[in-house]
Amino acid sequence: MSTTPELTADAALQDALAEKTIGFAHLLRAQGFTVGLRESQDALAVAECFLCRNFEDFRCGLRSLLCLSVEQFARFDALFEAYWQPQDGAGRIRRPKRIQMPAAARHGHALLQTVGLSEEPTEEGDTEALSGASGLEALRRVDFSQVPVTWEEPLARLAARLWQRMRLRKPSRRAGAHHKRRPHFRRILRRSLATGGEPLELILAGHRPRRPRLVLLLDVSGSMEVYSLFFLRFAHALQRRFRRVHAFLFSTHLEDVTADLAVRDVQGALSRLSRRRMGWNSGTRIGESLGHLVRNHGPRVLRADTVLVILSDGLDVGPPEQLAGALREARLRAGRIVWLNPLLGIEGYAPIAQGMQAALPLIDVFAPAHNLDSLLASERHLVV
Amino acid sequence: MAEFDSLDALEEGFRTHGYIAERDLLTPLFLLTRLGRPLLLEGHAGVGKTETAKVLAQLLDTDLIRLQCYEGLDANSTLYEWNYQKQLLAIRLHEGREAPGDALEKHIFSREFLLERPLLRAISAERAPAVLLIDEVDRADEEFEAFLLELLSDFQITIPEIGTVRAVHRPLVVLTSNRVRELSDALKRRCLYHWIDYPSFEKELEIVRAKAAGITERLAHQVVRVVQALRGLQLEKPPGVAETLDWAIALLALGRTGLDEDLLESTKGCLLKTTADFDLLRAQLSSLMDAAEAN
Repeated sequence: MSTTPELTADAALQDALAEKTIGFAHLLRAQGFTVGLRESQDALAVAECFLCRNFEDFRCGLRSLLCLSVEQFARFDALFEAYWQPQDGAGRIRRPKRIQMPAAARHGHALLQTVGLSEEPTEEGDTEALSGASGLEALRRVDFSQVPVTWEEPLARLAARLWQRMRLRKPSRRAGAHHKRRPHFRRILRRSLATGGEPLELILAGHRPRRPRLVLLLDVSGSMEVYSLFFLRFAHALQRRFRRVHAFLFSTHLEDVTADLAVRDVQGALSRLSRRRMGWNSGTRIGESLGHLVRNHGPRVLRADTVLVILSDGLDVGPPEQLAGALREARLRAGRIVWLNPLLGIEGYAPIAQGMQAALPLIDVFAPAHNLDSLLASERHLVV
Repeated sequence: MAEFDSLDALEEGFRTHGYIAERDLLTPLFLLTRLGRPLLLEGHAGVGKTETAKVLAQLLDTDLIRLQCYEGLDANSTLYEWNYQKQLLAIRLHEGREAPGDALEKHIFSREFLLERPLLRAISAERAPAVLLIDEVDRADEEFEAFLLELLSDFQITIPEIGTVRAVHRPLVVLTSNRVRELSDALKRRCLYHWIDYPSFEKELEIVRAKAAGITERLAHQVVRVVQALRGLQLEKPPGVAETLDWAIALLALGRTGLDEDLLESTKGCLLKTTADFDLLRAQLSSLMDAAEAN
């Protein structure tokens, strides 16, 4: 790394600039950018190259070093602007305070509390005891919207345990043989005839099996949010079983929450998700949101080996043709479309809502998702 | 390591090779030669991601080694393979003689029988650091990405029969991606990142002038205005710079000096690639012509 002649002039100035550059790296880290030690060091090298020559180049250089995607560019530019050219005290950036976890999160039922479902926990003993086999059965059958406060924690624990056991794989006669592809002896022999019986070409049998991808489109409007957030828990537990999980929330507009879901610990992920507070309780625009998903994220997330899961009650405020059109587009891209409708769990429910009527001929699977048992049963739908 | 004295020198070099680049693309390229980090280029199709690496190699007067990724690409076909047929032949030739045993084995597992694939070639380049272009890395599987991650941090490859091959010169690595799939953060983190956007009106005009020599000033303006207006519409596949150039050159070949509705309609295939986009163009024909004539 060569030092630029301009910089050697003043060692003190150089130190100050280095310090300021490192400070900027720290600021970005605090703002959620991926900045490690190596990035900080390289940021110094960038500063050496450009800082005293061309400020614009310096900005571009740091941006290419510290951003991971084009979506971060705008935030980077704003932070850069504020840090390096503060107009006044108000424009200056302060480090964010450490984010406080809500007290409820530490007690293991952040999910229902953060969505405002549960009041203060009632005294223990006023619900039936949850012990023994019948207790577990009850847990598995209870509708998510009817869970008593004291059941929440055991339910979450049970769910986590059961989900770990799910296999999510097509039954295969050659199960276990997946890791190594075997030589296809019959074809090798046949091919060797051409070379006088000398097997020159190695032919392997079968395709390498792939884990499918999962794309979730979850309704968080009004009555649906409880189910959706529970399903997110489910999705979080299943992440390792899929090649990739993308999650989108929608009510009146669409929001990509893939990054939030990727947080390792489930409570952390859920509290980040519930902090988003996007248009809860407002009407649902399924068709529009799905269309947006297919058009803007489709090429990236929807492929032939993708399972698209839509969790919604199908009560769309938009025109049903719009939903049908979007579903038709989605069918072209995704391998399979699964519609989970919690209302199916209600006895006597028939999908007569206009949106649902329009959607039914276009989806592959229509299944309930109102309690733990139904979620576990949805396992077999989640393979392509 | 190959270096440029300054960004301006790099800019000048790109210009003389006929690549008119925005300044914010040159900065990461410059850092690529300085910091030795790989550079990940993302952007819409046809904005010149691959071309960037080619010009860089020309400019540094070094080899361009290109690895085109596709689904199912695995480590073996990118590193090395043993020349199985040649090995068998060698064994056959030795058959009648005194049993050579170990010597034969050493012989058939020597470099002579090794087929070098792009990644090994890039690492073992002796003259100067090569430019390694890993094109459309998003098409490869995640397994391959993980393998690449390892390679890009160590720049060494172990061949069990021969030993470890270390890079004499670290190659300058350029990765491109069309965002068919999101790349892992770990890989992105290793890399400098740049998003190549569609060029501004002035830049694109400059590109057209440089690449479609002999085009009239009026036609060049019209071409670029129409293309830029098209990108504003909700097209399925918006035209990239490559399409602009194709179109400009096609118009030149037809001997035209100005644009009209019929001409735009009949040469639309240069710009648009789907029938839905054709329909949209037809609907917007007159407003596009207005845009072309605007000042």
